Amino acid sequence: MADFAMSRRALMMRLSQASEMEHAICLQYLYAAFSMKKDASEGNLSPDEAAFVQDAASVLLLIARQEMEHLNLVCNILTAIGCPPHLKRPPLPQPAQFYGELEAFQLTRFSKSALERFIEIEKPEHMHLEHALLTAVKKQPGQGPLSLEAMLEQFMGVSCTEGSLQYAEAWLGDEHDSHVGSNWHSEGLNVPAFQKIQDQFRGISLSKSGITSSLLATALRKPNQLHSGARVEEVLKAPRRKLARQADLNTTAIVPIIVDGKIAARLVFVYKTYAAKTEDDLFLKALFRSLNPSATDGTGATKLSKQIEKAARLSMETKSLGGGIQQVEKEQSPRNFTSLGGFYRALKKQIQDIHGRNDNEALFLNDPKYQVTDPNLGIDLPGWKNMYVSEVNDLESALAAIDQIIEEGEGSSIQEGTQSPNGGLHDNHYARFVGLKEEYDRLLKINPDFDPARQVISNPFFENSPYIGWSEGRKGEIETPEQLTNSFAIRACDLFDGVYELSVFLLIDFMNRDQESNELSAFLGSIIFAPLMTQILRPLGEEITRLPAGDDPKGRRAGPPFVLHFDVQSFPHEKAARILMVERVQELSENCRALSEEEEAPARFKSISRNLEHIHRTLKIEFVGLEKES
Amino acid sequence: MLTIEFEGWFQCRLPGDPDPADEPRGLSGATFATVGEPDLDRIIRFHDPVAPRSHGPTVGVFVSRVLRGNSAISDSSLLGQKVRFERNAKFLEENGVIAPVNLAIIEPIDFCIGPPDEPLLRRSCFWDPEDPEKSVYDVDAQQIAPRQTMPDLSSAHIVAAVTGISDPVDFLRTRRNILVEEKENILNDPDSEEKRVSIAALTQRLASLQLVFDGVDNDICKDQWDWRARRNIMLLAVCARYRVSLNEILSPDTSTASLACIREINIENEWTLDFWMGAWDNDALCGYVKGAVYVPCLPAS
Repeated sequence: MADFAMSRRALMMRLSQASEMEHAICLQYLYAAFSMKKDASEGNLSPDEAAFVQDAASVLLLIARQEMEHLNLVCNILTAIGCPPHLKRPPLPQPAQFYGELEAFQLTRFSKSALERFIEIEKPEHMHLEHALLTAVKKQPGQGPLSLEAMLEQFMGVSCTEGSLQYAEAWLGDEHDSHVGSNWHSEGLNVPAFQKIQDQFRGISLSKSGITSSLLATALRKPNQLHSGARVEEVLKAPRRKLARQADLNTTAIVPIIVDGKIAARLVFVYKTYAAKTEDDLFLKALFRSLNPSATDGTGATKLSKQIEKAARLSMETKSLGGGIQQVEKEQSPRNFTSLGGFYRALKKQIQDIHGRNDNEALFLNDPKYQVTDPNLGIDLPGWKNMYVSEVNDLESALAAIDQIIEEGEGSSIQEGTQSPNGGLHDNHYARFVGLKEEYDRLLKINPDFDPARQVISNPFFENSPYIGWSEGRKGEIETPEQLTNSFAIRACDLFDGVYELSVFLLIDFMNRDQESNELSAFLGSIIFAPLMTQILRPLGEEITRLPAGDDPKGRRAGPPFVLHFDVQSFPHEKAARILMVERVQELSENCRALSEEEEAPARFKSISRNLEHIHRTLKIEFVGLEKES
Repeated sequence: MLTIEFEGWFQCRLPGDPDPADEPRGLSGATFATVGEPDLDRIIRFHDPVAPRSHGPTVGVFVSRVLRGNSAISDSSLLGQKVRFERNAKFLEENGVIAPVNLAIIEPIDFCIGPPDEPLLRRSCFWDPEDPEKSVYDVDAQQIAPRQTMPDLSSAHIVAAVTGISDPVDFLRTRRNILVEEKENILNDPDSEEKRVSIAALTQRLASLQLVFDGVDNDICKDQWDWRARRNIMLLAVCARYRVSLNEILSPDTSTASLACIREINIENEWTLDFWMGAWDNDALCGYVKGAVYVPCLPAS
């Protein structure tokens, strides 16, 4: 029982971190979206540039909304296992590697470097590993790359004896799978060389590797017949996704093949992520070592090697729970991961592990009334623009929720039946950001001065910010935080933070309520996302980036700091919720009206103020008695 | 009772949820201003569309039939007259601030028949006839509710019969093909700023239409998300109904009006305006409106 309690606690820790990350990632995308110019009139944009600005803002807002969806899904899993939803987060900015090996989390305007950071955040797990392998192959000091035969023998020897490899094949990526091919374009894939490699691949003597049972061995000994029944020719033509579905597999490892100093092809190994004895990370760690035995000598590959080792260690350690809470916490540390996808796969495994050692009822204590789903949120948008938040009540629905998060983020989860309702591989965050970058690069070649965003300051703070000094020690690791000194901008940002804080408060209170019969819950659902976030928070954020950050009216622009001044907790009881909510909205409404009457207020402040006033009035009327009392 | 029927295509350049209601360009919803177009303004235009899009319907709402009692007046001077809302009427819901999402009201309702400079009939719907200045922000949800639209998902056959759009998917495919052709023609000779703007705008429209077909063609339409994925298309087939009282206190002397039918109108009683707006075309930012205003008449002298 004690072990199980610790398992639940460890799971809660990881889920809480997941919600923190989703929350913080969402804010970064929103900040960048708010910074975008609105149309061609801002900065003499060409037609293509204006279209890009519009498209980039649209993509950022869409993905930010999906991060909110992910946050909701994670909180549903937390609630399902009997833990409170988690909306706290550390203040921004945070340096690189604060969360695993992820990039720094910070509030910056949209720019090429910001976009590259977003791509890194969303980068699929296998691409991190590919990069590590590629680096290793290229950087063997004092010697050329391994021969094909030597590499394959080592690779098979390592992988197949571990028993996880299910299927392997070689192909030229871009002809069959554009999803993983984008970073290989410049490597000059060579079609004639591929045939040669294929021939060599088939000719390898497997007996030396001691393979007796793996499907790889079967496939290679009988190259025309795979375990799934498909012929090699068909498989080579099939999209990877389809292939993986056939085989009920879900992870790939991709090994570059070097011929005459150039990458001639990739070997794509498809296998089960969490097979009986081994993990993909362990497997790749061993592979990495086999490819690059001298990777500990301080070469550029060392860091990558360590990343893989770290991931592998995590994978191994999650297998053996028990031995006291400290050990569990150490072993289950959610800090060890290289990608969001890797983090979530480890989370899946952790849930499966705990569930596997107990019955369903032990882990999932869910009361469905406390699950927030998209109808509760009052959201119903067309197709892929919608938010899809499903109920979590057992292992299957918990894993499906995580698959949805992975699918929409990196798009590399290809387990059968997990396709996101929002679309396929190309709708994922990573692919969308890469698409934006390609267009951005194209436009920069035409006009190197093209700047799609306003000159908004980075990591804003103001004098009375509770986090002043927070990032002082992180200079160099993040973009230097910039202080807001313009008095109107400070007041506007304070108002923004007030609305943001209220949204988070209402959301946590909403998540803690009975969704089926609680009247207040239904009302909260009808107010939090729309109109509070869409009609108040977003216009405020957009208008703030038009304001000067300092005394120079033409100087750099302000940006909303996204500061939470209080610990985020649910209201203690319903009466408090109703009264405090009305009070807070009234205060914000009055502040907004005062701001809107100032000379320097953008025109839109008037409609924001009017809407806040209307929300306040509706709240007072809705919450019976308050109207009369006031 | 005089029944004046009207119909035709209208334009409304409005952002869609979850964009803020005053989003000028359209970023998160299904509608947007393309490159080169002015900002979205939400104004319901029955005539004189702003930046009308190529291959969209011809905007114009006119009196189509006039009846006294149950008898059509075939020679009525009102036939063919322009119908419109004045004072920049807009759909308002403000993402739930004013009205529940998808249940927008029209504000203001200032209904008018006849030329803009010399209207033949004109009457408003006020929140409080005694206080015409009162706006939607001055009233509560109970007062707003009767003005909200009533979505009608069951009248697809009526909408199809009136608009001729019997297959929305086919309608949009045809539109896409025409736009592709238009873009290719311009691409052959894109050496002017105007043409570059057109190409960018057409690219945006085509990308938006593609999303619709992605929804139709992909697996996602075969499962529980079916209705949502198809909603953009469904909007072409459904309508929303409005029924309001034109309650403005009128005091003009209509006895000398040039049109005989107007001289017979009873200005003391409220008039009822009953209409539907549907066949919403996200690409063209247009929809169809059809309805009638019911005007009580003075007893025959």
